[in-house]
Amino acid sequence: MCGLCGIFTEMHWTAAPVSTARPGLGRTQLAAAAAEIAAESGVRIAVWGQGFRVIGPTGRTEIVADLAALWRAIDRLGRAQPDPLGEPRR
Amino acid sequence: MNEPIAVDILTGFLGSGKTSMIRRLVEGRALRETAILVNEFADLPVDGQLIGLSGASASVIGDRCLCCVTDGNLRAAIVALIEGQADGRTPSFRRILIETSGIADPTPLIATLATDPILKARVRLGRVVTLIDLCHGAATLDESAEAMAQLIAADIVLLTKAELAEAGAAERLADRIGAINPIARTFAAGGFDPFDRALLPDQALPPRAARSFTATAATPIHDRIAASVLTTDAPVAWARFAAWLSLLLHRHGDTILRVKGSVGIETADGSIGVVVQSVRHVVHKPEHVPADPDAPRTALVVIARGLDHERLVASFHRHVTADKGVDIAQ
Repeated sequence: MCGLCGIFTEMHWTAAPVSTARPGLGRTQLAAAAAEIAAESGVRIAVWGQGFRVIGPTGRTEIVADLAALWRAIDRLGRAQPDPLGEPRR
Repeated sequence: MNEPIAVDILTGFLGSGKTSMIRRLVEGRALRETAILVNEFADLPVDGQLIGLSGASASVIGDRCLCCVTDGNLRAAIVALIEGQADGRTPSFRRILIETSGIADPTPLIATLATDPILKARVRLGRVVTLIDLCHGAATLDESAEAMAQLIAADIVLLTKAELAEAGAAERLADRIGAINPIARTFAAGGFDPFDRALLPDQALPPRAARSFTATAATPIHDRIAASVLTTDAPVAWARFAAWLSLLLHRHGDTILRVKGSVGIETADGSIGVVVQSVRHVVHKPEHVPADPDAPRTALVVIARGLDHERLVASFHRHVTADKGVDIAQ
């Protein structure tokens, strides 16, 4: 069961095909995947309500609504800007 | 809530035959139940008058190029059509067809349809049909960034003015078009309706693009615009794919011109397929796609300027398909 057929006009595209039965689980999975790909930035990411909470290495925190806003927050808070085309960390 | 109305786009450079095609479709009654919006660059909307004389319901959006006016004018024109239909002022229609001006980059228009808070609840992007004329098309692609943008946005390319072209021109141009935009299906313009879904069903990718495994350099003239095809047979975790693509577009959205394809997603019950497509930074709402047993479960074409194909493929597999022992499946 996926959520594509649900009508959420303000839904970010990354949230669309997650489980409608357990939307919280979908956000948890997005947070885990985002933290993994952004590991070099040193931020921690947690689900916060309908969005995410980003905690930088210095403890500065931002609340964001979706992944698009999440990456901008990580660029501000993190110690490095994650690049999926970058070389893997050793 | 009503189903969003499909908005199809007809684009193509100056003189490529857009208005002639609309006239032919109108006269052949192919555009019944279609509201036509014409973006006319000239002060005198001659094209609009011609279309109006053909008996279709036509409106003219503004007096500037559509790529410059994807704001209130477009929104107002579409909303007026929908509300006019609701209260009976406008004849009933089931889809909207926008003819862009010849010098328009359709990218802002497509972005507006996907992101405008008023529009995105009421309409969805249908298909983009781009006309390229066989006499001047190759030179126009060399010289015009707008013509290149029209090609990159295309789902279907129609080659026009074959009667005026030299022998072999169609084959040469089709090869070049396929190298720049393998997402598009290319046909010789003829007596058919390129917006007819019964004749040309929607599909995530043409079979040739979905089965290609290598990038093809298009031409050095355009700063190395090239297409890469990312494929994998095993279903992927949506969260991992979504994080990867959204970060990729966040970081490299200026060079990634278009992404389109199907993605096979892991679910508790097996897998489902969705179509994902973006134009520049804007990703359209993913849609279900029927399973195709002959195609890879995930086949994604990425059209980019100056992007290292090997690095892109390695990134896709490192971040999306690799089994890292982390349970982030649906």
